Amino acid sequence: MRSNLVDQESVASICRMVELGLTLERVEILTPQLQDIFTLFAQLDDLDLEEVEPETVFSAEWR
Amino acid sequence: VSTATALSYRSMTEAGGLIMERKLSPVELTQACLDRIAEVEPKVHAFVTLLADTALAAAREAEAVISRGDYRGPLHGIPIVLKDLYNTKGIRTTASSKVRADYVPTNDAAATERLAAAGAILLGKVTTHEFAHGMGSAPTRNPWDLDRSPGGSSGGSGAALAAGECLGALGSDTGGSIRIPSAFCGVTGIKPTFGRASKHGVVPLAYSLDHVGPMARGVADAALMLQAISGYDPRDRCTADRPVPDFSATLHDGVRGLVLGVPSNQYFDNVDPEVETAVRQAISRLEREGAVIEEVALPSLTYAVAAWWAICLVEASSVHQRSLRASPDLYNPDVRLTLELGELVPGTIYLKAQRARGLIKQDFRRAFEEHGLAALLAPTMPGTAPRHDQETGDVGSEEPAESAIDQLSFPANLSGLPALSVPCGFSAAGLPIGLQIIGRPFDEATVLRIGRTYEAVTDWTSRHPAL
Repeated sequence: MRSNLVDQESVASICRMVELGLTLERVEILTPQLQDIFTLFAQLDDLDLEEVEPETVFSAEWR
Repeated sequence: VSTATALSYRSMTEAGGLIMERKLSPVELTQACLDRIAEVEPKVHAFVTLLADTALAAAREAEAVISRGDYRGPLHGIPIVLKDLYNTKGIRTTASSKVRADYVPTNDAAATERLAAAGAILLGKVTTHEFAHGMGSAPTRNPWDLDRSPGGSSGGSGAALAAGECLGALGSDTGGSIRIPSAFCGVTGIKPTFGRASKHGVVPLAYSLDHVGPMARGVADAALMLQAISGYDPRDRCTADRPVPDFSATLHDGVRGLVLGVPSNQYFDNVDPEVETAVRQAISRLEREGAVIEEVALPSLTYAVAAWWAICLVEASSVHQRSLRASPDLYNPDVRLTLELGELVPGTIYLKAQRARGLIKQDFRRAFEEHGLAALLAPTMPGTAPRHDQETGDVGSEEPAESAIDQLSFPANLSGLPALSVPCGFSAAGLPIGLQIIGRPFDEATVLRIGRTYEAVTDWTSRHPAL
């Protein structure tokens, strides 16, 4: 199953945005892979995370 | 078997005892390892950098110090290797990457420093998958079958131990990289609790998933090395400021009365029947030793693979952001691809994954507390070592074989729980199988004790590959 939300044009445009200068050839390689991982990540939308804080912790301690 | 080989296959515990009693010289032991390396390294290819001269010099120094009566403890004079992600002062640390081919650190990693302080002898640096991120373990071979992979990313550590080239090793584990090669090479490895041992000076893969830990040819040896590298380090903000118990003290206490959980989902899905049989037999063996076995459900683990990839891709891309732009062609194609992908994952997805991780952690906690578990038992890997030409691993692959590997190894990284792999049998083709023992946070002692109990009533660790 593949998400069709990602196309080469949008990949190329995000790459420009993050200043990752990729050739058309790289974008062609990257696009289907990106579709696959976004499909994988979409699984996370099934979870109810309302009450769950991210497991990223900031500490104000000086050390 | 030559005398040198027999010596280089000794356990640390045994060799250390002889060194303490001055019945064995660290020089003799180091030379035995170097002889074994000369003999098998052309087949195994575990080393990136061999430090024969400095190792012998350190061994002579250890011998002199010990003969003066200044014995430092069980690692004094013991030859070990480090995965080439651990910084070593004045010795190149390549991460098995062209990007770092000539990188010579000016300082030791915390673990390098601690092992040196304990008197261990560094034989050399061994291979890793590129930056621990790549999919391939080439050029290193699995000593049990040279056509097969040792697994990774700490493949050099696993292969060197199985081949009898050293007595102990350090690996690192972001998504299974200590446990996978331990299982595939028939050795013992523990990923301790997140925060137990300092990662300072170890090339990062993913900040919030990385763990350092030991690999050895037995549980008691792994416990000794873990002891040496554990503890608070202000240079690694992830380390926990809490006491480190004596891991060796409780190793022989048995498992009578301990409740051990066996997951009813996730851990036995898509597992090779030979592996499942070996693991179920190991579970029965522990039951005969007095453990109480209970089946437990961990429903949120279904999301472990998605959460892990989102976190790992983004964190790794953050580590390599500048270098990827400066020299993309120096990376292997698989690593370059994953680093580029990580650049394109939105921050909201990263944080969604870090929240899913919270659920996974809660799920483990609920299972441990509701059942009063001392540990969970599962296969380390769904199969045995793959052939070199079958080492693949597309990111987020939906191939059952690949996602099965991820499903078994990722949960302990996401939860940070300690996880040990011990040998629990061999396939019909003669390839090692590993049992995974996952414990409560900071309870490595119980995990090691369960592993040692199993090891003591089986003889898997006494077998060595024919090389």
